[in-house]
Amino acid sequence: MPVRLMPATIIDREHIPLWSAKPVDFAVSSTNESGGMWRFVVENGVYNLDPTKADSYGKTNFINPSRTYPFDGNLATAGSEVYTNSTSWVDADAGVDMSTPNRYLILLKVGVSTTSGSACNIGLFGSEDMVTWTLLWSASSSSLATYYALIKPVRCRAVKVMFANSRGGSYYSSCSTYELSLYKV
Amino acid sequence: MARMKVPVQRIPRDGEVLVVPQVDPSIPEFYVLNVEGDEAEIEVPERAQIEMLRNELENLKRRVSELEKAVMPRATA
Repeated sequence: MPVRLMPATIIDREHIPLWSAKPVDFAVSSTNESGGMWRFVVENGVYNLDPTKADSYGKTNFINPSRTYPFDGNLATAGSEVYTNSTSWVDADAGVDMSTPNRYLILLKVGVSTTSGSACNIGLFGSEDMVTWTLLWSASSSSLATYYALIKPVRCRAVKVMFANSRGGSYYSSCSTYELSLYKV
Repeated sequence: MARMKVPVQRIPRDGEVLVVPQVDPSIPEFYVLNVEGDEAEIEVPERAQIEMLRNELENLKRRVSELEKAVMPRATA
């Protein structure tokens, strides 16, 4: 069942069209967490979303089923880091297949680090057919960093986290996904 | 939020195809709003714009310092 986004501090902003049936545009000014909930600001309205209410909550991590933390509903849990020295995009540690394409609001918390002198490129990719994967969000960091990303409602069936190092060879990047939440809208 | 259009690269990988917008490396973070053919529209969040402006400011300061050092010996000669 599609989730209804309830503003935390402004209760008469329910008409903000995040869950509209047709694509709409809106500005997101910040995304982070508070009290174990996703917290984001859309056009001066503050919204909280419970990660345990995500449609992806408890789903199998198809990148590595033993790594359950990206879908455990807990924004504080992360597993051991995965590493790469590849300069091409490679799978990281989180991916979920929702079985059928729908429009989803996606929230991601991921931590990255990288060997000094190089950068870690981290990205979230979405797919409708598990064959063609389109980059939805990306960041590049040359130091230890934690990212929160909010992907505006997008039609997809599956998403996965990928990463790469900017230099390769003896330079490595690492990452660990804390949480990846998909909400049907 | 700043928006711009950039070219798209399609990268074959282990039976998959990755669709990746080609973005200037100076942009530290971006969202992909839409992909149409060989072109994508991206959005750069404000925090990334701040980081870019800070980097640009540091580069300008460095450039000014270099120019000042180059000019000083001539001025005092």
